[in-house]
Amino acid sequence: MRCLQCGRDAPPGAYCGYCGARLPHAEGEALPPTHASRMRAHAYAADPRESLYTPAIISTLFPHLPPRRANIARWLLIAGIALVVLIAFGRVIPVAVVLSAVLLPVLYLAYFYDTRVYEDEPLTVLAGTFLIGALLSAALSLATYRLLVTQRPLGLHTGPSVSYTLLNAVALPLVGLALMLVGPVALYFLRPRFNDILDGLVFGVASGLGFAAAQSVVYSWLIIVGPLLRGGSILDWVLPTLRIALVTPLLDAASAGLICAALWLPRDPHIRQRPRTLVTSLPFAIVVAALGQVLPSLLTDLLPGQALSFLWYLLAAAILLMLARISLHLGLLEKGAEASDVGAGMDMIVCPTCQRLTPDLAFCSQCGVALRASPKRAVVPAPRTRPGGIAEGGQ
Amino acid sequence: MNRMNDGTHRRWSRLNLLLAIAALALPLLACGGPIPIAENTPTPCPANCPPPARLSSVGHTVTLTGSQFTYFSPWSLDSSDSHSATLLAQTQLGQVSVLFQSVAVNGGETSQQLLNQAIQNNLNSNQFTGAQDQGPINGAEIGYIAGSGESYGATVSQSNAPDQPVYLEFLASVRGSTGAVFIALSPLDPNSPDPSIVPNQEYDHLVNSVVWS
Repeated sequence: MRCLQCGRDAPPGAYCGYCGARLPHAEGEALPPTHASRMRAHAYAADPRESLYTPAIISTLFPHLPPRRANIARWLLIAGIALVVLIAFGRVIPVAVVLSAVLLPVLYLAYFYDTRVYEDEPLTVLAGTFLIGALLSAALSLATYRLLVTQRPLGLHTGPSVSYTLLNAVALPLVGLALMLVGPVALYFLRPRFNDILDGLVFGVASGLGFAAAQSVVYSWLIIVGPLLRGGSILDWVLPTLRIALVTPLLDAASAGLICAALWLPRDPHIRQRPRTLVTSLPFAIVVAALGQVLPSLLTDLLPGQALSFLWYLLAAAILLMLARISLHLGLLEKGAEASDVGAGMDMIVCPTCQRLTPDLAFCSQCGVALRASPKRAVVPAPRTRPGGIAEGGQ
Repeated sequence: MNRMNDGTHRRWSRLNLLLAIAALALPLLACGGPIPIAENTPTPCPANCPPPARLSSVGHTVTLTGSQFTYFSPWSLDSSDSHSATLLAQTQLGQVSVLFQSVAVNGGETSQQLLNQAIQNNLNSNQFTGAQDQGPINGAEIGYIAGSGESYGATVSQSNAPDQPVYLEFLASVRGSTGAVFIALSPLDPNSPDPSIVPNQEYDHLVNSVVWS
């Protein structure tokens, strides 16, 4: 069947195995390529069960997870968040803060272990991303701790000075963003074989999570070493706990992930052109990530209040997460469209998402998932049979 | 042989990476001081202690409706109008701020009612996390007029700055149809056994300088 999007003869199925575009439902049915069909917004490339615009954390930041593992990770995240909120209700705040700070990083380390994406160099990847991010974050937070504490306006009716605002809301978020990129950029130059947009996204996310965890621990140090039970109403500590557990790590992970995905995309040997969309371009990613770091911090200083501050950071995290998702989706589609040497042998494999047999191309012909977004051990060769057959033991 | 060279190369590359991490992190760690804590307790004065010395002997008087007060260095005036004034002072643990308010009170309104109103207006959970009542301030008075006082402990928790325990002290007094409210917000623990970081004496100087008119 001829794909109207890329013009190649695609194996039979719902999606073109080369470019991921939806194929005509029946022979002779003409579907001229449109912007919408090129975007393929109804089926996210890393998990076609979801729409591109679904604000999903797991399928965006943990793109290698097959569906069953993704569900487990989703429930683990929900259970973790519920646990730290319950502990915050009980006002055992030091415990809630520490658990919140390590929740997403621990899930991400489990993701690294489970998917074994970098099984031949796990230490290098972890050191180059998570560890460097955490170390540099701890160093920056400690270096500026005294300055922030002594210059912070504590008055009941006083606002921050211009110098404090520039330091706290502009300079530090930008320096922080630059430090989040140090580890991944080092890997970019030292390990050229990591040349996939998914590598970039995962490296950026890991570095951002390490950065956020270390910063949260340093910034909350006086709470962590303080009394085990804190005062106030049971709702008082819920927002700070959610901020540490979810909002700050998501913002940092999405910022660094967005930039690294855009940095890695043109390096892919399958891509002959520069990225064709604005969202996947590096300058756009840098500007948006910088704004995403600076604006909520600036608004927090200018319009003080815990609830408002939480809202600014949540909005920034949600927008950057969505942009990282769109960037990854478009990047995977662009890679597929440009790929010419993938699956030349047309071997059959079992799709880890739909468990059906599909040619070993860039995309599953049956469900449209980007097959390179699957863990290596999940994509297994299958005995030769017709495409679309259900593999033995499939879901 | 080639495999051995690859292995050696990989080990050297990993070593280079770790060295690069250390090289990046150590200067930053060296720049940063530890999380600030209070300095050691000074040696107590054995006998015949001199009065507390001031850095500047020049006092500044602020006049509000119904009262006036005087402040000295290290306090500085941050803002003022006819009903309120805010003073700031810098310490090794952060900024201390004091808010003086002068209010007209209805007949029969007590200092305790004025105090409760001030606490309700200023101690909101949006700014202070986990505020906890630490008990009344015995002997509370403003301008030598007996009143009511209450102290609180809380945490200032912000997304883009370190969490900081803070201590709030509220005082209120009523004289005739005028009420005075004093609110102090400080990162220094007024109940600390270390006298070098207890700001109570500074607060006493300020509230005792109030002259009712």
